[in-house]
Amino acid sequence: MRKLKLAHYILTGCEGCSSSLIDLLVNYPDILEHFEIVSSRIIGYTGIVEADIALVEGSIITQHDLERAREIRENSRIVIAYGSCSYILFINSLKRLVNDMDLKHVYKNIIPAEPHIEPKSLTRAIKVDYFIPGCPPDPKETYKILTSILLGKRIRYPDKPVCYECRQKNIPCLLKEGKLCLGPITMGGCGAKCPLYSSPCWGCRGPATEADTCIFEKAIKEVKIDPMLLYKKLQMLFGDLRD
Amino acid sequence: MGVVFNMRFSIEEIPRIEGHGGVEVHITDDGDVKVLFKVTEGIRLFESFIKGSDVSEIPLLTSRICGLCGVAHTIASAKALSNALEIDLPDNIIMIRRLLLELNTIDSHLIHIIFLSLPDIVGSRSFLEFPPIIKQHVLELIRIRDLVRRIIKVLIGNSVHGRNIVPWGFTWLPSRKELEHYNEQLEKSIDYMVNFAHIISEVMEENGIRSKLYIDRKANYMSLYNEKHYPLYHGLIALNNEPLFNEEDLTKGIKEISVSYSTAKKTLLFNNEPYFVGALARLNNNSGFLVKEALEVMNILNLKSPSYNPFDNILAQYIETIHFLVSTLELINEYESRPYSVEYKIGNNVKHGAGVVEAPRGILIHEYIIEKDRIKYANIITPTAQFISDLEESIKIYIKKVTNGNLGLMEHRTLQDIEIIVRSYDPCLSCSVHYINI
Repeated sequence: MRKLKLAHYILTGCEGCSSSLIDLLVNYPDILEHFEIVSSRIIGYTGIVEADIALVEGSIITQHDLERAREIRENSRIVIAYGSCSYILFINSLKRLVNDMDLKHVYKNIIPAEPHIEPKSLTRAIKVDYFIPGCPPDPKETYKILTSILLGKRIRYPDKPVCYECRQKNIPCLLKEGKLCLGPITMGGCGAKCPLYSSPCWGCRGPATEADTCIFEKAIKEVKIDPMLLYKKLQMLFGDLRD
Repeated sequence: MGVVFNMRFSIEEIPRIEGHGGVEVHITDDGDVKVLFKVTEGIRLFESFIKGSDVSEIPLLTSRICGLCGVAHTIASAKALSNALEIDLPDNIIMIRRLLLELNTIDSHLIHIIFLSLPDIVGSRSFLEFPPIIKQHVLELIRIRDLVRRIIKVLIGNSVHGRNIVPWGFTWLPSRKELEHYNEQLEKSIDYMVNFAHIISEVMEENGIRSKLYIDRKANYMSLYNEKHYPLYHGLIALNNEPLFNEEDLTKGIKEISVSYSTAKKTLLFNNEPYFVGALARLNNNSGFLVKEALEVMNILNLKSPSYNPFDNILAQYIETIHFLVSTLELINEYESRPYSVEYKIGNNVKHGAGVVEAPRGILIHEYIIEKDRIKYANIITPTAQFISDLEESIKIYIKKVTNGNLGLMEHRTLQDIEIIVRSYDPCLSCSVHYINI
């Protein structure tokens, strides 16, 4: 069987997804038997090249990011939004709350030359074939999705929210403790790892199709969560969808 | 060929660094060399958008500044906020913060050595193209990194962005037993790294890369220093072996400037001189505290302290990796998982707190003003922002050295050498534009 050409590109982000990609290559070495890495800055091959699959991490923050995203689309048979910044904008959507005044505050009246545009996820900027959620993505899930493509299998994403996995594992409900947890409205499949460490869900896997919005709304009202904090958290989950 | 002036050349995107950045060199009519390190990463405005957030969320929010040194940002912000809230943390929590910084430093150094800098030393484009003998050893280094990341994952729930870190400690911690499980493999790793140092030393001896890239200069270096151990968390900030500032007044000793050509801010000492931070700066200030295995490797690699040669930073990272592997084992032996957090009271008044730690690439400063439990003001100064001026200075000296005054002698190879010099500083552009992501 011919090896599939795999390209990995980085737009604006923290590059934690790159780190996770290295974990994938170390822990699932058979990936390199089926895929040939044709571009990846961290591995030493730069430039946008023709590929079967492009894994794209980071968000569109600059005009340059947008141009690269379009070029990547033209050169790739399958484009995968790799990680939360690429899939739903996630942390970078908070930048949408900040106006030009703040840019001036940070840079003391000198605005750097690189033209900035309204932040967008890759999913909203170009046509994306699949996504791998997570901040950063779990190497195991990346492996599953890549091998499904290889074998021509259908890719299925979990319908149930994180909340469902918490209940299955008997993890005490953080919402009931008054903590702002997005578990009821976030796509599951992560094993509810944040609540497992007593840390509330931030929604890094994006909205769930079968979201428990009733549970969520009720709990938010009961424990009286500050609307400003709620607004910011929901911005991370849905901020990309707003115009 | 006569003497050529007024020329420009640039490297648009330097491969094998963390983030997007390039170098522009301008040789002016009067023969002066100007070097600009341009960071083109998109601005992410962390300092602005965390205003108004709850203090409990800040460590995990700031982790997202960088995927390689997120742990350092997490701990720096937790330290700054526990200082601001005047929380009296028990020793075990402080020790676990130190342990996390050490593990993160090993992880980040190994990534830099294996994927980013070793190809320069070996002379390949990528680690995938290493000669089989080297590749075999490198696979072992990759396994050591993987081992360290597993330990980080046990401690904070994830190997990249942790889940349980708050200013008053942790939301949960695993037992010592879960960590001790890795002790045997850690011990083996130390031996392995000492042995591989001989091979690296031989390769460098053969191809002469280190002497070729030698930059003859004196420079300022800054790192933490305490009188007890090789520091990542505790201590005063020392400049050229002299402890000068504590974390509250560091921002008085250095100043930040913005430049129009880059999305990263830069810093200088208050007398306008550049300085470098990172593994080599730490080693220059603290080599007396290295464990014997690390001193042995320092000898094998023939590194003398103090060194001002940027390329030696890679060797310093290697030496530190061994030191921290030994130190990590000791910290795991003293590890206590309880208590994992302390009770604290949020007052009504406005409070200020700064936290300085050593990130893998050098001094990292987080500074906050809080009102009740909300962030009112945030300022983050990253290692890369601090060494950019020194990096530009080094490239300038190097260009003058290889062209021996006749800048018409610039060759394509010089550009490749400049790339190697940039990489030896290990710039982290995601961090530098923290506002965005340098």
